[in-house]
Amino acid sequence: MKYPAKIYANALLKVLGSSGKQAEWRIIKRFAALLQKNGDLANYGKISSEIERLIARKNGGKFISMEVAQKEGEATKKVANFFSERDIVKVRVLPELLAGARILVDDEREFDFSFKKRLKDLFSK
Amino acid sequence: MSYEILEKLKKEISDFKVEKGAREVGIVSEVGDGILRISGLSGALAQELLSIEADDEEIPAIAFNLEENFIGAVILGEGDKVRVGARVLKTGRVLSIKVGDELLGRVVDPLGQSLDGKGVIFKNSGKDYFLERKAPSVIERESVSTPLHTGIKAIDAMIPIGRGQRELIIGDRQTGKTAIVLDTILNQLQDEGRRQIVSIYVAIGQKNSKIAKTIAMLEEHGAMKNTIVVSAPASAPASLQYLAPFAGAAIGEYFMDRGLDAVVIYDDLSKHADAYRQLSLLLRRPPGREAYPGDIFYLHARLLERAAKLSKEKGGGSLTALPIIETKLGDVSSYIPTNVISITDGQIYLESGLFYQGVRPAVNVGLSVSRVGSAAQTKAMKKVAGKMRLELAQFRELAAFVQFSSDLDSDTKKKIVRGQLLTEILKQTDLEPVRFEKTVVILYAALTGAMDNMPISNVQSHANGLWDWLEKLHRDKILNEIRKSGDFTTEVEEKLKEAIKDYGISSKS
Repeated sequence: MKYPAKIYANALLKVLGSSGKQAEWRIIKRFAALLQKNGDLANYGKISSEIERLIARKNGGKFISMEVAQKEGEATKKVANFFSERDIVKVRVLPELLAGARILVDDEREFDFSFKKRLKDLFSK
Repeated sequence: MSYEILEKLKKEISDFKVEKGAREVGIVSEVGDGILRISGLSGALAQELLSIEADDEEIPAIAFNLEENFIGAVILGEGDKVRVGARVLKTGRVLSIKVGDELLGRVVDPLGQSLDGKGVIFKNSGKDYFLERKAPSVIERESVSTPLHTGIKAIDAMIPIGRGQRELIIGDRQTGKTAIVLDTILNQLQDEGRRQIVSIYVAIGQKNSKIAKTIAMLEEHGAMKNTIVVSAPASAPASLQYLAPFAGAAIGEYFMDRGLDAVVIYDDLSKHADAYRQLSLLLRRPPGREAYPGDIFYLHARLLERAAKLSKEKGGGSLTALPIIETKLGDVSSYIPTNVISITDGQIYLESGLFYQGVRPAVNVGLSVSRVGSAAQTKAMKKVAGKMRLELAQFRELAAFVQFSSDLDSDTKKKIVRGQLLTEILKQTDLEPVRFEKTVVILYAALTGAMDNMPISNVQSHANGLWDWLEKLHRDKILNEIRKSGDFTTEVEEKLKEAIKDYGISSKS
């Protein structure tokens, strides 16, 4: 990666913020061309999640990453509804958790209610 | 019975409380070559011990680089078990090693794990000592005053080392650097009249076979009981090679803090610098001269500064450091050798030229110095060897004329013969350290002219014969006297003179 994802995301949002609505499409096209030129198209996933993080922070929200053990069901939806509209919530299925969920807020604070964690704590006691 | 067990388990589980609060975590965003990049964990401290939650175990790591968006860390365990996305937790601790008397005779890795297959080292005892610790301050120190006899005649006579000193051993490959330190360890078994020294041998980046050979040799000579080996072989990750000397220093400090004397041997710091360079480049720290990072001097300075002779108020213990540096083609002016030369209190310079001429140990007496050791030299050795350095220096100046010796004046000839004699006397085989009183009497005999008219090829056998004679007939009155007092009084000198004379007569007849 020529530049870290955070730098790409920051640059794009700053340019978009300082230009008008009509220039938006042109800037995005140019940004995509830049990624191709730098050979960073494969890292688009990282850059986009960084953009989402920045947008959430800019709007006063949080970036929530929710990992659940089973397919999204009613319970998952209920939990996701606890968060405010300004928060960005990403849900991922992670069967290795066995049961329950793991919630990561802003990539720093984690609430781990998974069965895997419970088992691990039990055996390390 | 089984019902009881199930009931107990049920109770245990019901008592178990699940942690409901949030925990601060970092996420592994890149991993490779024993290096991690972690996002998050903004509150981590420099050099803090981190714990990576791998699939089925927790792997330790150290926070090295604290940058704006991520942390650069070094993995201390098996790096291939760490995956991107794994959680990393702070521990609030810095790296430490368990130390205690139980370590004596053991082989450990830089994290304190036993490598000798002799089982658990500590059951309940053992103290935690930080790998990185501040060196003793000026007030806590005292001048070096007790000798550390190496058993190498040339070193004990002309480049004396004191307990608490830092003396560098430098030379090309295959010049006998390790042999000198191993002789030093062996000599501690026979150096009576002073406190017994604990030796810590830190092997960095060496072949496993060489380390095994060293340990076997120490065991064979019975020196392992006072020795601890810290091993970070070439097959160990760079992170462990980087930590090995710090672990050795921490173990040495434990003995020093208890008022004992310890010597720690870093074999060698060139490989240590290479391991640190590797870590630094992988962590993308800016490279400096010879691609070493900018803080390589500080790294070695803070390590060697931990060697000290503590004041009486602090227990009077000492930690002597004997770092080894390997030079390339005798170039002592490259980066790491000059750094370590300037940090230490002197150096023993080994020359491959001398080694191949048969002068072994190949100590270049002209380039070797000991800046503080002479204060610790015993009076006996000082009296005898005082003139020797000068005589050898004069010999070196005249050495070029040796082949024209028939055309030289008698005074020059005499100096050349004396120089050749002294060079021969200083030769010794490895793993046979010489007692300090033996060095004193042999050098006395050589310097007073007892071997002047002898063919060079007979010098060693004559010296050994003299030693046997003295041991058999004059042990109490001469040898024990020198050993106990460390002095060479006029009375002892007269007796020795007489004994040398008697031996001269008896060996001729």
